[in-house]
Amino acid sequence: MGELRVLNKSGDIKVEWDPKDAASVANAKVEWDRLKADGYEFFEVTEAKGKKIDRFKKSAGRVIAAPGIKKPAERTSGVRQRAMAGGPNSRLVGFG
Amino acid sequence: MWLSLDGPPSRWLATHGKPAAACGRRGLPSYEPEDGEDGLVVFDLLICNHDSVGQVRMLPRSYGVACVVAPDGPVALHHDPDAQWTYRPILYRLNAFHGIEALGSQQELRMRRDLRDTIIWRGTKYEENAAADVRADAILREHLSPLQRIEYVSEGSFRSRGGKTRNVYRIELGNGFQLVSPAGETIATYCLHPEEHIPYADVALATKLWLEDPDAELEALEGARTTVVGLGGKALPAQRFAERLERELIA
Repeated sequence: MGELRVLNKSGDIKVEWDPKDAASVANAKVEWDRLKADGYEFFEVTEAKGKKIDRFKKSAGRVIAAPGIKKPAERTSGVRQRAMAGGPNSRLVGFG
Repeated sequence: MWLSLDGPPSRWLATHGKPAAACGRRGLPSYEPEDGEDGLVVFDLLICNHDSVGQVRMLPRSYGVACVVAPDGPVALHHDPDAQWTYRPILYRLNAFHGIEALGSQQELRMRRDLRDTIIWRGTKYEENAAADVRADAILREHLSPLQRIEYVSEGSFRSRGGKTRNVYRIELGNGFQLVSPAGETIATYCLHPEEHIPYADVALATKLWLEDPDAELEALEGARTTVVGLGGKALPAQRFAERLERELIA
């Protein structure tokens, strides 16, 4: 059985799949893609050691999805841009 | 609880060995509510006169991105234009042993989560949050080596070896991680955590996975916020700042 553990604010969420069951594999792949789009990275874990993997493998045993790391150059977020452009929360700019 | 700090930030940030750009009072971009929650209570959590006029007001829905933009560039001490609580220190607590103690980023996130839950959800999420901590602790213990598990249980932190550099790191729950010498002295501290609060144990596990993988370790170090303290020094710049603050405000 393959297992995907997602580290998030609820502690962790578990998604399991059976390599022989196409439906569960497809479901796990969908979850994988969604997490990847959200910025998660994946580590295949064996005996307390993790190895970063980039592709979903249905033969994987346990995989942990951990939040990805933003490089310093990638840290500009939409929030700041929206605020500077006069977004809905821009009324808070300069308060105090 | 609030503290008032008078004077421009450049004066009291400069003690950390880096020239600090003066922060203008403009440039608190926005608070973005999490999951669309919106609070109606304006709550003064901290009064910080970082420009002799301004205040930082912590709104219940301010669980999001808040920062101060320095005209001359990043402000020393944990600044990142898009990180949480970039204007440091923001949150303090009174501690019987250390006096005024500045909390780390993860602890601030946790406090804000609890505060938001109290104000908006009236405390109904406490059990859910406690259960999340228990689950996170369990999954962390599953993925520690026997020696790491012993260290974790006895000290609340554990050591990990970098997959690429073979450096030794001490990962603390809720307090980032440190590069340590073979003798156990801290050489540098790193702050690396998600932008929203997740249980400390999850952050520690994610940190361990990032650092122990040869392909990922350097990426993790590049993304972390670093403070070099030198051999023999204390690991926490916030602690040094808190001590200075205590001397100036209380003494």
